[in-house]
Amino acid sequence: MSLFRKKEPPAAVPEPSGPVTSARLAEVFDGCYDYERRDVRAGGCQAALCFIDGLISSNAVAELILRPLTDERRFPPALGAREAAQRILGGTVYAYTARERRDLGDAAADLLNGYCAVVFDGLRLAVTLEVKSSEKRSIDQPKEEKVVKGSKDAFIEVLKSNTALVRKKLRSPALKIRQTTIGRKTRTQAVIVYLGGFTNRSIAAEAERRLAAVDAEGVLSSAVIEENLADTPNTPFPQMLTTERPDKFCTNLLEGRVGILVDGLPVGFLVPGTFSQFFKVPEDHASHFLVASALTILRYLSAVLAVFLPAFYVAVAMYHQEMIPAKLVQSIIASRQSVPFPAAFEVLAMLISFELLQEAGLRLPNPAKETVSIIGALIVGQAAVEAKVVSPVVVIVIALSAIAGYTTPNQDLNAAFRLCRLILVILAILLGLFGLSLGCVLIVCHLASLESFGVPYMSPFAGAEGNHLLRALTRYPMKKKRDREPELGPEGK
Amino acid sequence: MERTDLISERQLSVLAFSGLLSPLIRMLPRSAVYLAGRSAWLSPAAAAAAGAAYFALMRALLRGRGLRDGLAEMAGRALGSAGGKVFCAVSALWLTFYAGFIARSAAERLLSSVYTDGSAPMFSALLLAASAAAAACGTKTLARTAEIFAPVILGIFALVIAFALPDVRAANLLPVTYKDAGRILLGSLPITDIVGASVYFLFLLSHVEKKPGEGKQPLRWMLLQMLVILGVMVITVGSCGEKLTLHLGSAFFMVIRNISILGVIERVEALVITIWITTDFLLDATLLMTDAEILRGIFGAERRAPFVIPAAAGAAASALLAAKSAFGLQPLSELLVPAANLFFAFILIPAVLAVGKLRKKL
Amino acid sequence: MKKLTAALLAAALCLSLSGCSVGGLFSNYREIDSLELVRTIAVDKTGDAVLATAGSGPLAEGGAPHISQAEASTLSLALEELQRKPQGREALLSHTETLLVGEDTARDGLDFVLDYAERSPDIRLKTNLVVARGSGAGELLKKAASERSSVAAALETMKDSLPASGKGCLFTCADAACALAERGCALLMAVEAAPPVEDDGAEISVAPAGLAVLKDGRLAGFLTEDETAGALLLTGCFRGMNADIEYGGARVSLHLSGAKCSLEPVFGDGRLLRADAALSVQADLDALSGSGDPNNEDWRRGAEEAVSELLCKMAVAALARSQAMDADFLGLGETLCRRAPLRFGSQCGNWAELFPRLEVRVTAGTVLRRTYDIDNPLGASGGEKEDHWNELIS
Repeated sequence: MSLFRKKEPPAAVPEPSGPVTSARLAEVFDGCYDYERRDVRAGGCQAALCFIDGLISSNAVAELILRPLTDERRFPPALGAREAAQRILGGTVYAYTARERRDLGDAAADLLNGYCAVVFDGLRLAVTLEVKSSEKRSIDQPKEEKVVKGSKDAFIEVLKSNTALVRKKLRSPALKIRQTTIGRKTRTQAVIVYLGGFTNRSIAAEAERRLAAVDAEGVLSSAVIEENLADTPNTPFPQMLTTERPDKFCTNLLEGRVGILVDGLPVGFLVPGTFSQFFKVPEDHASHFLVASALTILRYLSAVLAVFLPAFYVAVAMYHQEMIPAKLVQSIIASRQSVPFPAAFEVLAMLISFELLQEAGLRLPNPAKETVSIIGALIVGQAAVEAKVVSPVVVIVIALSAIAGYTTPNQDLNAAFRLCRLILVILAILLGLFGLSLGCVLIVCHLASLESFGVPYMSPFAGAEGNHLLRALTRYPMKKKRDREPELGPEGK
Repeated sequence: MERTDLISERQLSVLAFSGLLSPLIRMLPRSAVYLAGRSAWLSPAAAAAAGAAYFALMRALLRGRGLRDGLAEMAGRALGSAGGKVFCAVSALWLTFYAGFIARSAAERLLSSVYTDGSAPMFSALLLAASAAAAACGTKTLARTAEIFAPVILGIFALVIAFALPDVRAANLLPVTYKDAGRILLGSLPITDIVGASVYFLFLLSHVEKKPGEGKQPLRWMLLQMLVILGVMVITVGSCGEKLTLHLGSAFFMVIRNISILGVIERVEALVITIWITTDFLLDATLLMTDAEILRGIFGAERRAPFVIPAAAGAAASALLAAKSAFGLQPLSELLVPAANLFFAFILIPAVLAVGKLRKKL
Repeated sequence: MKKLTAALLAAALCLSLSGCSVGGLFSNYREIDSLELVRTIAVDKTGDAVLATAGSGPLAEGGAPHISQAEASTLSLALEELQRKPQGREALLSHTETLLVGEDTARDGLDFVLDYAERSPDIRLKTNLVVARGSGAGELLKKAASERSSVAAALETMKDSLPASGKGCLFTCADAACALAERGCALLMAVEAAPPVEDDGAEISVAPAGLAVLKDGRLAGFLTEDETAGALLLTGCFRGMNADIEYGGARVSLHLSGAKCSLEPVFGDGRLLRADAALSVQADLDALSGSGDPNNEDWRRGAEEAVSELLCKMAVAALARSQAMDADFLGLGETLCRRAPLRFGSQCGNWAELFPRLEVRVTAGTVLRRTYDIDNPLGASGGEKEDHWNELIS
């Protein structure tokens, strides 16, 4: 069965290679409407200026490259091709990055990265100069991770801008940013970010190794990074923290994590990912430590409620009615009198309806989103109860569980919780509290088996360094707060 | 052997603590009250002293163990290859049976309380299957699972004890005089049996990484266990009295059946019993893992995981065949299992280690 | 390996789904709306059979409580028979608050009821055990049921009001079982039929009828009002009561609370000579009609002595009854043993033989705490009031 057989990677497409000439470059980009070639004379010899329109800044090409090239004071006619090339590399034209390329593949890659190439056919040489277009989205407020107190900038799709945002917050020479290219077709640039002499070297090295080993045709979504770098890709639980906030990114670097930024993705990834990390929000560092601690504990309790409440209700209503207080039992019996469906069906139907509403709400454009939520509330809530299709108690239970789930800051974790909730409901339907207990035990066991870059996923709740329940559940006062997390094994002081 | 599957001494202690709460409810407080009467609630204190002495003895006997030495490896060195294998085979057989017995007892507990129409084979099979799945995941996973559940179990316990305390009457616990000292010591015997069952965890020492400052962890967790047992004894004997406690099959669950948490949840018995499933699960998983570890040693294999399923199958067979009813389970629970645990903990294993010391093999 | 164990788990689940074993999955499954909550179970013996009457208590949707009855050879069979009644609902016994036993049945022996309570996974040991005095329990349950009343509702009210009235105390199956096991006797609350409350719609109402004494598992008798109060004082179950006394030509109503009882053994000649019971109670003046000056220290002292005398009378009555019945339902032996365990063990001898003739000296002390700022009752002559003020000024 294909489920169990390992997939073979597709056959690699041969990369362009060999000596670089303008004609060969034109062959590489044959048929591409945005490939431009302009003949120029530099130093009395013919050269070709090649670039991909759209990726470069036309003003920069005109003013900073063409103008100096055609200036006879800088490039006198008797110069010769070799000398002209040396002058270009030496800074006679105003590009801040100049590279000598003799390989066709390298030259083509540079063109695709927003460089223009001055190709000297006779020398089989191209000098590539960076003239990247400055067209990019402006740095805006985070869409998902909003805070009242705290910085209002967010990552954008341009890697250099993102690394600049990080550098502005961490002005330490120890901040290392190491680049690699991933994606066979997209050739996307990605960087590993960490604090040298502080971050555990083995984690940084492992992250770099895994990033370099990403085997994908293209890197256009975060799932490519998450699933390729995760230790256990088959689990629904996220193993990598993603954030659109540079301050949160830097805070985690200071705790000993390794960051990954990818060109084209407006998020930063942080490894290792531990369960407790997904319950922290940037607002915690802006609030009083007592308030932050109380809210953190509330988030954990909400997660428990979100996962266990529907299953607990089903188990108690179907098998363990003795646990319900007498008056509430009578009230439930009275409210369920005309409901034709068993409690199990009610809960499952409501859960599925709620998931449908949620999915519909995500897909619809904004004006329709509110309408759907109103219709959902009307149909699923009020009308269903009045029509005695479901009982009011079930509506309350499912609604409470859903609202509790929304307090989980990380949506990937919330999605995993929703899956667990469904599984636990099914087990509770089959076996009551015993089934719920068994399901809980297996889920916890699964979580305990996860590791992220050698760090137990459930630290600091469980791990060889000891149980630091307090640190996970609360935020220490700033004076007592240690930035580094011991389970990440940071080096130095 | 999987050299990355290492845990700390603290984690092993937490695993032992969580798992050994399972037989606690089966045996106590009835056995202790039978021997010690009204003063049985003080038996945990006596058992703590005995346990501390036992731990000190075992620490002395285990001193000088190699970095990756478990009890099986040490027995092999102490008794020679053939002797070691015989010891391991006997231990493996007993552990297989014990794992099945634990599953069967857990099923019986469910049937006599909240699932009166249930099926013992079904509950036993499901518990063993879950335990086998966990045992196959490795020592680290199981230890971390125990670390996560330990505070939850302790929290539930604290809640139960807090809500049961108002029903405790001093008249049921007092008076206790110096004349009761002998009975208190006698009453500590079943408790010491539970402490002694921690000796099976020594087979997992090959997966324990020594860390500085963790030497007192087993003692600390044993004392915590005694505190929990003390709580159980106080609320049970204090609520029901000596004679009623003996009269009832499981007085502790009778007591918690009466508990209502602020009128919001009535009869927390069902909740507590199903939380107890986690302790049964942890103990069973550890026993199956230990069994598989011993079998790995006997057959000289590199990996332990392939032996989990035969161990689980053996446990399932013993769960199904050992006792068809609660009546069949009773002599096992009250005689065979405690006697065997005491034999292993206080006679066989210390003797094997002592022989090894005398022969200067350890 | 993980796939194999996952497959094993799935197989175990499928095995359960196969239903080939008896009571596999869905064992104990019940739809909640198919249940009827039983709040009170009344037990009567009719010859060799047991008549069980189950009452549902007040319903959430209104209406009279459902009463159903069944007869069988044992209590559990009778309750099972109830399940087969054609009202279409299964009785949910796990919320039973009270087991009500008829007087005649109680005289015959309550062991079978306690046995059922101990064995049943549904009944809690904290369920109240009450004796229906002067009637059958089922009859009481049926007649007291109406849209606005039921035995369950009455007992729920009693649970709150009894402790402050001195008329009794609700004891549970655990209390009874524990006391019978330890001492061979126990106290239970008794209720009786009383005239119905107006507009209630029921034939009768349920009123407290003092405490009932069980001895060797059988009802041995009922305590009078004084004996009940005395028993509550001596066992530490006293929470409060109202007492009327005649003192100094005035009728004085007091509310008693905060009672403490200390029992001390007195040894001599190598044996237990007697027991000294010291009661102390706090009182508040509720009403005064007639001449009397609560601000007068002598008057107060006199009133306190009168109350103490009343308390002694109650305690002595309870003790006398206990000794007469040869049933240590007050737990005297246990209390004395706790006070001096070693001496009691060595010098008491056979407690069962000693108890009926043991001398118990009762002393009582009362403290009148407050008179609620009333100097003289309304209606007293103004002259007296003026004299009082003049006295204060001078």
